[in-house]
Amino acid sequence: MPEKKTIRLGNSIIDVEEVVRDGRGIEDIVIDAMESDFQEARYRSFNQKLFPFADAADLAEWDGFLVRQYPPLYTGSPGTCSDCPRGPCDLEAGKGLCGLEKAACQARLSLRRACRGSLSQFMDSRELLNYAVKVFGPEHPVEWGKMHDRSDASHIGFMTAIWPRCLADLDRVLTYVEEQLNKLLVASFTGLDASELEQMVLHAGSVLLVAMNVSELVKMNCFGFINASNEDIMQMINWPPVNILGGLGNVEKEKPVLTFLGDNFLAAWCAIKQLQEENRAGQVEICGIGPAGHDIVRFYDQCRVLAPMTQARKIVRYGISDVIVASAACIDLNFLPDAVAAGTKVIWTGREKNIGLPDYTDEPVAKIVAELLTGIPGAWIRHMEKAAAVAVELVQKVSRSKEHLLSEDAAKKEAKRCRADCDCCHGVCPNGLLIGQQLRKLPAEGVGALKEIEEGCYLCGRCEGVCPEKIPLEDIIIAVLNGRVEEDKLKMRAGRGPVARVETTAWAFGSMWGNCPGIFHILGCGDARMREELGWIAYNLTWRNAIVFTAGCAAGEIGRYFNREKQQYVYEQFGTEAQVRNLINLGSCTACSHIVDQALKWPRTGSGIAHYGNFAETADVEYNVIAPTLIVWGALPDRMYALVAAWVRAGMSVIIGPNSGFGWNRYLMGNKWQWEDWWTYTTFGGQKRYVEPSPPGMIIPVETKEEALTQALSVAMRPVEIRDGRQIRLDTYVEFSETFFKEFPDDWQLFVRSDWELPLRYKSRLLKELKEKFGWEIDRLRVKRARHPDGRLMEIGEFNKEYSSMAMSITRLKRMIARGSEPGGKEENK
Amino acid sequence: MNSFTELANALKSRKNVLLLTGYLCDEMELNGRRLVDYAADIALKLNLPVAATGNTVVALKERGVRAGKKVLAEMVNLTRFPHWGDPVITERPEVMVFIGYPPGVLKPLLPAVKGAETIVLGNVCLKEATFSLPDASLSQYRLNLESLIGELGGF
Ligand code: SF4
Ligand code: SF4
Repeated sequence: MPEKKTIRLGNSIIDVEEVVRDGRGIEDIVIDAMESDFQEARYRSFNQKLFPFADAADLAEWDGFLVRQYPPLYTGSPGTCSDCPRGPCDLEAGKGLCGLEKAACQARLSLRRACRGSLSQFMDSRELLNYAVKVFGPEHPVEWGKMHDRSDASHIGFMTAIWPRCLADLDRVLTYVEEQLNKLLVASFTGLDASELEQMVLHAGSVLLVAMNVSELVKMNCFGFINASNEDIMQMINWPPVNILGGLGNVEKEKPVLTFLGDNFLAAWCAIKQLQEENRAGQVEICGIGPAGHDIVRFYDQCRVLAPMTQARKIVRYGISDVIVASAACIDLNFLPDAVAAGTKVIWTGREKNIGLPDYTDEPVAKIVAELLTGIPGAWIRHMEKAAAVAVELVQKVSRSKEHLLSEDAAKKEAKRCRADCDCCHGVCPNGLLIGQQLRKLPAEGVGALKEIEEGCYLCGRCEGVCPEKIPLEDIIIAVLNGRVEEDKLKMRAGRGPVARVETTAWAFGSMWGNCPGIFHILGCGDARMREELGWIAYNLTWRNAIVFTAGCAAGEIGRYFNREKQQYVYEQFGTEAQVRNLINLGSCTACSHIVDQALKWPRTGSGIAHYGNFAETADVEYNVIAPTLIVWGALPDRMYALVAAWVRAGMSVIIGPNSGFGWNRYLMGNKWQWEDWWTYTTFGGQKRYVEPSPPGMIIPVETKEEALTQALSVAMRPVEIRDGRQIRLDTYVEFSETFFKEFPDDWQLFVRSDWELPLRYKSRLLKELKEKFGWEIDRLRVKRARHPDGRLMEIGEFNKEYSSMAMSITRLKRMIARGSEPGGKEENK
Repeated sequence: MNSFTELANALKSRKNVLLLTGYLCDEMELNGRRLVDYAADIALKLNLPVAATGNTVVALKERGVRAGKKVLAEMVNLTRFPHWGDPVITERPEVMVFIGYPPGVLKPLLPAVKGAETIVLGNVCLKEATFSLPDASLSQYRLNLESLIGELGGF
């Protein structure tokens, strides 16, 4: 900084250079952030550092802890490396010529995957912002919502320290994201240190959330997306209402059907605006697939949310749409042949690449419409208003036959060719579906024989590719879908947008002291094996008093869960404020950033931690005290890989599955049976203190939804939580295990710190096990002496003094040991 | 190993063999008999401890098998640490036998198993395993399992 800068905070004069390493060029941001949220008490007690515009290395102290505690478990094998011209090098045989080891190569691949995922979002955010600046100007104001104030955390704040006020600020933020992703991508070809590369994966996740933050701010402030933070807090329990219908069964097929697919909602915004201005909105059925659907319903509640992105090929091939306006998304799907087969016209609006359509960007609307009507399958139009105008015009003129669908008789005829001595299709199906076995039943039972296969299928096409009889398996799957279209329904709330800190204050206390098993986040991309599994997971957590947040495609899939007894969809059964026993949809994929941000607001409320440029300290508290659990059910796209990294970095564990979760090739798990691995520093004193292995893992793949729920509870316990919270979490953990597996979990005893924490309904049985299986000394309903993991039998009071950290202040960051209180420090010597 | 006799003998002769059963044990039927029945036969004939993953522990226990509920990736994860510790088998397993996993789930995990041989009893041959049953249709797979169980002898 050119001149020495200080700020006054309470009774302290703070030298900014002491807190920020190099603030040159960003003085305005740093001073603004410190003056509005920095906490004097913490500054006086701790060696606080802020990292505005953080590089991966700035957060290495925290990331390093995570990667050490949960060393990456790499699955799969990279084989050879060809990253540089000196290769290929066989890494199974030893180091590469550049010194690259197998683990580092796996970490490079992990980083590349995370970068791909983050870049796909960045491109969308950049395009959206550029458009908004063109239309509304750089000074157009942005805000998070009326209920938000400067203490409300966001990833923009964590990573850049900016409190954005206008679109120009967001441009500065996206420049940061771009720079970070470039650095990470370069490192993914040149880095040699596995641990450092994995830490960068976490960074790729954080900058993804920053890009998502930008998109959300633009959507809410420029395009009329609803935001509950601007509404009356008393209405929030039921706002927005459960009025969004979706699924193929809810589409009014008599109307022209115009579907928007992918990340970019802008063409939809222009088209709906045009239809409304012309008073024709009611004449056209607007549908959305993937993020577009979840975005549109935030400004147009008549839109039908059809399906997640991974199911897009199936929906396109089924052919419900007359016109599809598509853009790039989280997953690359070659859907054009499906649209051609179904007779649907495609307008591709992606700017970064074409999908094989003629470029009509500079042609007049009338000419494009005329040519589309006379034969060409689609057009590439890189101009949103024009793409929308063409779509609106075309959809009312085009007519499409349904003749492409295979009839039941034709399906039977094809199925008869299936060979009993084959089953190649089962071998390649990523969801392990028993396709051949069921197909052979089709001639006798009809297409219904493949009902469950169709549910679990996302039309990847691998089975058809290996079938020696060239049976058109994809067409057969679509014929099965045709048979159940009327049942394909969902009902949901539109996403409500960000959650202000005032609301999280309420959940923080409810979840710690109340009768709440925890806070859970549910995401998923639609490739799970059974359609209602996401809803089942959400329901089973919410009705047990959990606080459940969702966003993205999972929010729609949850909406399929229907309680037949009560004749209600799952969103109709629960409220939607950030409170115990509420199921809260925040929005499309970009609203995932709100989920992490609201979770990270708690450290500000509970421990007075400033957030601007202060990620590591925040995540440390979150991880130790009250981190929610994320369940990702159906986890295919690379963007989800990067998103999960962001969750982990924020201290939150992630359970992924079912089958696609095993294709991730990198998990983060510790050894819960090795008690010496689990320790922390006491914040005041800096002593090393052994604690229970909570959580035992940060990314754990599982096979079934029952495993997902049970594991979600196993990682929900945190060492600092007080006994009420531990009791209800143990209770639910044991309950899930008993219900689904008819036995106690194998590790429940590792989490017991006092008999007060034993769930009442299992207490006598658990005490009996503690005594007989684990050698604790029990006196009627009390633990008299507990078994330390090192084998010693100790009075319970002594045990608590020496082991675990209930309600204590602890940290994983040496820097966060209170000033002078470390062994030998001046505070200790007083 | 070229025959089911050799495979059966190898399994019988090894110490610390751990059987892992995946979710397909509950879902797959081979000519009217569930895969979990085959898994139970193998476990009972060899008196093996079973790390039952997915939801398979319930059906296995009903069949009298010494099974404990485990998570597949956790079992693989533990093999890379010096301390084993999991109570399902007191010592680090020498051989891990997998049944009931689709290839897409198992294939990437196998190279991550450290210090133990891996045997895959599935219908898709996985070259990543120390030994894997060959590619087979479901009807041939049933015959393969029956041959193996036959070679394991009586209960
Ligand atoms: S198309 Fe469907 S059934 Fe076929 S392999 Fe892919 S997911 Fe499995
Ligand atoms: S690959 Fe083709 S012939 Fe073989 S079982 Fe599957 S559908 Fe039948």
